[in-house]
Amino acid sequence: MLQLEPGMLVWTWITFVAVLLVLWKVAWKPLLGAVESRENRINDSLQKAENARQEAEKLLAQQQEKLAAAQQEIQGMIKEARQTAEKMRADLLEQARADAEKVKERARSDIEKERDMMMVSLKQEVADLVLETTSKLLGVAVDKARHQKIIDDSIAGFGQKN
Amino acid sequence: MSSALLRSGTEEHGEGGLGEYILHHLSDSNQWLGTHLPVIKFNLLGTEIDLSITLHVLMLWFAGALLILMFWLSFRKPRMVPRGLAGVLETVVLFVRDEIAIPNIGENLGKRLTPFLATVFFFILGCNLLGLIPIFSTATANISVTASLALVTFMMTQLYGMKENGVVAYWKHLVPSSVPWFLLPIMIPIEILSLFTKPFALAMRLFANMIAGHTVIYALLGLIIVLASYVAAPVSVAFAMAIYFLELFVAFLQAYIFTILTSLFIGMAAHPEH
Repeated sequence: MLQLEPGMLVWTWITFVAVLLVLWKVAWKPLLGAVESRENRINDSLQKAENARQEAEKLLAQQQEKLAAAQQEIQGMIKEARQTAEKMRADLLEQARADAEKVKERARSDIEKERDMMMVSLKQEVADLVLETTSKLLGVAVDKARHQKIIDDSIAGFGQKN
Repeated sequence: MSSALLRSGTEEHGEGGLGEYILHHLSDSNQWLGTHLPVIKFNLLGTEIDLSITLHVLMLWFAGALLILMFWLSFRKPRMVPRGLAGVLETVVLFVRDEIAIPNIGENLGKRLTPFLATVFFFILGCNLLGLIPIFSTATANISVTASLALVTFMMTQLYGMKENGVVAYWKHLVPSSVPWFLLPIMIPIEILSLFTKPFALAMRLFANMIAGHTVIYALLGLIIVLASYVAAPVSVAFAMAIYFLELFVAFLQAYIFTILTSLFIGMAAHPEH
C-alpha cells in the first residue's frame, strides 16, 4: 500500500497538467480576467466618486463665497438706497417748504396789492362822495376838477393819520 | 460487500479478514463496477512500464472532467458579476488568491500562481469529494497520487526559488545568512533534508487523512457483520454517518492545507529572507 507505482505517478501528472491547461482556458483566464477588470472598474469608480466629491465641495465653497459676496453687495445697495431715499425725502421736504413759503409770500403780496387798490378806489369813492355832499350842501355844483386836489390832499392826510 | 465480507469476516479469519477486506477495498484495482479496465504495459529499454488505466486513474479523470465541466458551464458567458454556481466558484478562487496565494507568495507572483494553486485546490478537493460518493473511489487515498502532487509542489518550489532569486543565489540562501559559520556543517544537511521532507510530509498527510476516514467508516460498518447483530446496525450507521460528515469537512480541510502549504513553500523559496 505504501509503495510508489511509476504508472500512477505519470498518470497523475498527465491528468493534473491536462486539467490545469484546460481550466486555464475555460476558467482561470475568464474568471480572473473578469475579476481584474471588475476590481479596476470599482477602483476607478471609487476614484471618480472621490474626485466628484472634491469637485462638489469646491463648487459649494465657491457658491457660498459668491453668495456671501452677493449678500454683502445687496446690503450695500440697501444702505445706499436708504441714504438716497433719506436725502430725497429731505430735499422734497425742503422744496415743499420753500414752495409753501413762496405761495404764502405771493398770497401776501396779492393781498397787499389788493388792499392798495382798494385803498385807491376807496379814496376815489370818498372824494366823489365828499364832492357830491359838499355840492348838495352848498347848493352849487362844485367844479370837480377844481376841488379834486383839495380833497385828495385831505384824504391823503387822513390816510396818513391812520 | 456483504456476502464476501460475511464469509471472510465471520467464518474464516475473524477480524483479520475484515481488515484485509477494507485494505483491498481502499487500494487501487484494475476494475470498476465489475468492468475490467485496460491494462497498458510495455517495454522501454529493458524496463517494463506499467501505464494501466487503473481505478484511481479513472477517478482522477472523473474529478478532472467534473471540474472542467463545472467551470466551463459557469464561465461560458462572461459576466461582470457572476451568479449562482459561478459566484460560489469565484468566491473560492478569490479566497485562494487573496487568502492563500498573495499573503504567502506576495502580490505579483501570488497573482501569477493563483491559477496553479486554484487547480491544486480544486483538483484535490474534487478527488476527495468523489471518494465520498458510493461506487466511486478516492484517488487521493493512493500514496502514488499524493506523492505525485507533492512532487509537483516540490518542482514548483525549486523552479520559482531559482527563477526569482537566480540559481546561485537560491542555493546560497537555502541556509539563512544569519546562521553563524560554525553551525553550517549541521545546517546545510538539515536544510537539504528539509527540501525533501516538506513534500514528503505533504504527500503523507493527504494520503493518511483520506485513507483514515474511509477505514473508519468501513470498520464501523464492518462491525455489523463481525458482531452479526441487528443491535449493532443503528449504532454503527450512526457513527459511520458522523464520520462521513467529518470526512466531508476533512476533504475541504486537506485540500486547503495542501494548497496553503504549497503556496507557503513556494513563497519561502521565492523570498528566502522573510
